[in-house]
Amino acid sequence: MISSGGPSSAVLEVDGFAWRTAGPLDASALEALAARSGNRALFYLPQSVAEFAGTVGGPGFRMPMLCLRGSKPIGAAATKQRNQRNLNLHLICFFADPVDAALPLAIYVRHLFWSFPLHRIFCQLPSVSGAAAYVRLLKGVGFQEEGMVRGHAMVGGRPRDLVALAVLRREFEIWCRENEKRLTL
Amino acid sequence: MPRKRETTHPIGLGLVGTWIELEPYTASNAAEFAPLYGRRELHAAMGAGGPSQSSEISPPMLIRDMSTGEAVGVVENHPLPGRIAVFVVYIDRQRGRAGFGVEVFLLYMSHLFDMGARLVTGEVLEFNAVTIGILRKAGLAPQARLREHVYSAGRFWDLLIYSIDREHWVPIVQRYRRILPGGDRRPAAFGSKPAGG
Repeated sequence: MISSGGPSSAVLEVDGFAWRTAGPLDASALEALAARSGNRALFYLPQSVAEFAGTVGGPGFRMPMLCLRGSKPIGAAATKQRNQRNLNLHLICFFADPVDAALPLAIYVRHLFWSFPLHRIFCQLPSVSGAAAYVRLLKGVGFQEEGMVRGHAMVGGRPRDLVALAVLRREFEIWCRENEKRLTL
Repeated sequence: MPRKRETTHPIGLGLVGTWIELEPYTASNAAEFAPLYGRRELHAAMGAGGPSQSSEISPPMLIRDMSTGEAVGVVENHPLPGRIAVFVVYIDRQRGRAGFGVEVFLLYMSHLFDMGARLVTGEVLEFNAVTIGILRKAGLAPQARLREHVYSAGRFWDLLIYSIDREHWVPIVQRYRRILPGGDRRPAAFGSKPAGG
């Protein structure tokens, strides 16, 4: 980390976890990650993952990135619904194994706060199989549960409850100081 | 044996109340929406939401004071996937009266369900005491509190998320039936003093 008194650098590689921008050539890796248990339903991922990686700059997903450990893709993330007035955005993140994804997720969240004047990052998960692991993952990097809206998600044509979680910038800064100083903004 | 097909009876309150009526957006009343949208944008409690352009579930409607004929507010919805309607109401403080909000709430919510909404959701800023009071009195509690989600009037505010389905809405309407059109009681408090909030 650079500690010159000025702004810190973007951190996209820590302890062997490396994030890079996802592109069309990553379609098969993204598809494999999306197909892991419950990921597609949890994050409303498009049937064509090319759509996920190919719409940078257009409506839909922004900042699509792929996380690798060594050369192996272990997760992906993107944002949508970035609101310029309210300074918040919706996080999409899916991993091969969310149980071991706290550090990679924290790196991506840190990158979002580093890159944009964001006040808040939120995530909304339908209560389907696999949701509990992601709730634990998100809480593990500073997100707080904000409630559950009944019947708000449609999954496979059936209404499901929707869990709302979010982290504020100041909360994430505290999380970094207490848990991972290398990510401190 | 085939199951008997269930039918959903309309709540059927219509769009005309005791004090206000709701008038769907048309070319002939379009000009009356613009100044209300302009005032709404400057109202802190309305947050950052823009006008709804959608008639997917129901078009935007003017709230007209039946005693003066004046347009006093706008009520509309933003449709979400899964036949969810996000309910938005604005009543001009200078023109509205106490009780207008309750009547709009009952008529328009019922109308949305009659038009096929599966869920109706309300997003209310934490300091909007009037709306929170109406919802609380109806027996609704927020299902989520999105912390500092909306920037309005110089700072971030929590956004309270309310949501209800038809099954839970109908008993609420029944509680108010007697003071609604067709009921046997006139709502004595309605229209007695300027609306707050």
